[in-house]
Amino acid sequence: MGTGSATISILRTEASDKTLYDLYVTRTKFLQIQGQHSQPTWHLHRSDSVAEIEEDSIVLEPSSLEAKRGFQFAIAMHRAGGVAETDILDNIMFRLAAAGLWQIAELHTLAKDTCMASLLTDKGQGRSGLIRTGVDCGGEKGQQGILSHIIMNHENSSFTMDLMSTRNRLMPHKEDLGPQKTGLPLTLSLRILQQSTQREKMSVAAVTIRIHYSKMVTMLRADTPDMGDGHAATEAKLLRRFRELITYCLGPRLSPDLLQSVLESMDVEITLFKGIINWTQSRIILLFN
Amino acid sequence: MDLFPLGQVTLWALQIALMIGIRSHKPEEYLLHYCPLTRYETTSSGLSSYQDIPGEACTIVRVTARATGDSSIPHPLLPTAKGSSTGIVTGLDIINDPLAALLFKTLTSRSHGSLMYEQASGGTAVALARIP
Repeated sequence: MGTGSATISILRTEASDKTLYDLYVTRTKFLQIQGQHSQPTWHLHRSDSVAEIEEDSIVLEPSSLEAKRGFQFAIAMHRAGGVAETDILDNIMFRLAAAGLWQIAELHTLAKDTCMASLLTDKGQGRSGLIRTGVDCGGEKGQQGILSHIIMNHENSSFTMDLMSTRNRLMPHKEDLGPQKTGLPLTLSLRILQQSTQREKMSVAAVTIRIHYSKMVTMLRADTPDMGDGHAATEAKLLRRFRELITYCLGPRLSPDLLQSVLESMDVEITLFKGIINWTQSRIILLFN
Repeated sequence: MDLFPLGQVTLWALQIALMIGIRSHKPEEYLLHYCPLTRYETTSSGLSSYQDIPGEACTIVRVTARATGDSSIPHPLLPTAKGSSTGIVTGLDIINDPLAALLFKTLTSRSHGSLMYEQASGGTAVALARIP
């Protein structure tokens, strides 16, 4: 019992690399520390990770499960070596020679109240998109100009880098530990997360509602089997429901002409996260124009 | 020229957000709940039961309005980093949150009919408020 810290030195052989991967990514092995009966706890960095990103943002994230495992492993390796978060980010940024207008700003997760260490678990691995680097942009062109530049030139671009491209430092050893492991390949894709749509920004007022996309379609079809496929049909159905609600509420209070004006000003937009449709990114936006 | 002032439209948006965000089984508050995914047409005779309020079907992210920057509904309607259940309004919020309480009051200030009548007929007992 008690707290403390330990410095871990790792000679990176193929064997030790595999052991680390099993410890921190697949979790098929556990650390055994002499004299300690419980597993040591890991805290990679801050525990107050912001859960929701409500502003437009640019992120670099692994686009496949394999890439995410590689990213998690890279972070675990850096942290095992006592490397600070800022140094990890600098290392990533250093490898991105093409990106001159933006900077890697932070490592973050989308999990509420979740330390990034918890993402190094079996459950965390299956949750795609929960680990990313946030990108900060700014400069003489202003943020909007740079955002346009990034969208035009880099959106959905994949960046492959090797965070440990130098060879292992040669150290004298008394015994042959096997072939040395070098390199720490990483592939990150750049995505633009525009939480506010252009129509929302242009509207007089808007109500943004978070939805579960597949649940929404199922529920809407339950009483409208012939609703039709696609966004347009779904948006039309939702718009009709909102207009009925407004008619019900305002009908007794507004003249027919005014009520009709309100109804005609309304519109519905459904937004989906590019790629994976999930709970946090799919939204219904009720617009008043 | 706009037919309604910005404040009026924003108020309607806030009231609709409250209707979508509310989660309460108290009868007078339950009647406010509106889910665009499940709510039978408000003018039809389709009825629901108290158990029908979907826990996670819809939650509110924000309300925005032009020219006022982000005119957002404050906590608890808005998701927060450390909130356990965000984007919803509970009966307790109606008591403790001044904005939620005000919105609730205006929504239920229907000048004709009665709450009991509305409840019996299966409709929602709401009326979006107009700014005098």
